[in-house]
Amino acid sequence: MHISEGVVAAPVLVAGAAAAAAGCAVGLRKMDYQNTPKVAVLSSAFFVASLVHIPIGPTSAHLVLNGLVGILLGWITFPAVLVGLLLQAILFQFGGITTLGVNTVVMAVPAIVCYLLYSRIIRSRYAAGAAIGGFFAGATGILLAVILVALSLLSTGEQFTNVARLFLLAHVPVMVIEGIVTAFIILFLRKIKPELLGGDIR
Amino acid sequence: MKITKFVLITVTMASSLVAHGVNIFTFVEGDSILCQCYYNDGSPVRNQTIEAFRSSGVKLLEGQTDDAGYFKFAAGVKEDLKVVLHAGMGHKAETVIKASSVPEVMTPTPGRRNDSRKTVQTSPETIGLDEEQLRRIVKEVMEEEINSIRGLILRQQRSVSLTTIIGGIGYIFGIFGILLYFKRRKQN
Repeated sequence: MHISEGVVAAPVLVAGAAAAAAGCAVGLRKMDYQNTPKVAVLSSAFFVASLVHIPIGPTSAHLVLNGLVGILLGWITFPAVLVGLLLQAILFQFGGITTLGVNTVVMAVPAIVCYLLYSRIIRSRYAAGAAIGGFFAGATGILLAVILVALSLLSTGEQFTNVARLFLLAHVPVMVIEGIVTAFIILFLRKIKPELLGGDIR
Repeated sequence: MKITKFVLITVTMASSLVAHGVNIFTFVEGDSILCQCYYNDGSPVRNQTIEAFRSSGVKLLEGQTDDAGYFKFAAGVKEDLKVVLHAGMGHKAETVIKASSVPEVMTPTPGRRNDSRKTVQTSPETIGLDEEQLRRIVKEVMEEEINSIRGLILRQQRSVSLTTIIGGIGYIFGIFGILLYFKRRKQN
């Protein structure tokens, strides 16, 4: 789900970089002494998640975990994802330096939407509620990211509907797997460290 | 730390340390250029568009990778070539072939792998091979062998090692550590 170097047009890259910078500015302001370790852990998890590879038909996809990062970090997702993507680009040649901004937006915006939609359900008193919230957060994170990638590929002249359909189909299994993984992590955190899910992010 | 461990274990256990991304490697095979295209996990990039450009930027030819992720073409010109693989959905890889390693052949023709094999077959009546033919056969066999080894080496260079992953996590903690340090100084 990383956009490679030289695929999208310059205006998209610039717009992406600007949006990512703005998002990071907001995110960094919300970071404090308390939540920084959590941000680092989730940034690492995001960094490693892209190595978990799921073969689907002719192509291949990987876990993203942006839904999980989103519901746990809120706006701080921006810097967390940016750092993760930067290292993926440098160390694994995923995506690229010029596409860093676009890729950050593609991953972080869905994450924040997940945060706004599901962070309340995840703190539910009932385990089932938390699990369902986690599942949908994982799935929604991927779904929206796919839509954003397809949108940014519009600038290359690829037909939106075609690309989107193909891409979406390829990612349905990823959405399901990601949902399950996210739900399990949420359930686990709920038992072990409920304060991580709590309201320390504003 | 429990959480860190848990997250990392869940993530790494399921993974065979393979990754997403596309690669293209080019080899010279006989008088053609052979492009090998595969995803980072080693699976071939099937039926995707591949383009070759001349050094002037003019498109030379275009074709599709086969089921094994190969695409073979004869360049027809002896200059720096750029080969671009479009694997769709935002994936793209490119590589440059130096003029010195481009084999000289007549016309640019896209083709499939193994096509040229037939051309080396000598007709039954020529029992005694002349030196030129022998040289060519040996060269082709050698190239094939060397290419497979080259492919292996290149692939190993590109593959993600555990050291890299752990190093990356280290960087992340380092970066956030520095951020925290500055945040704290500001607060004081």
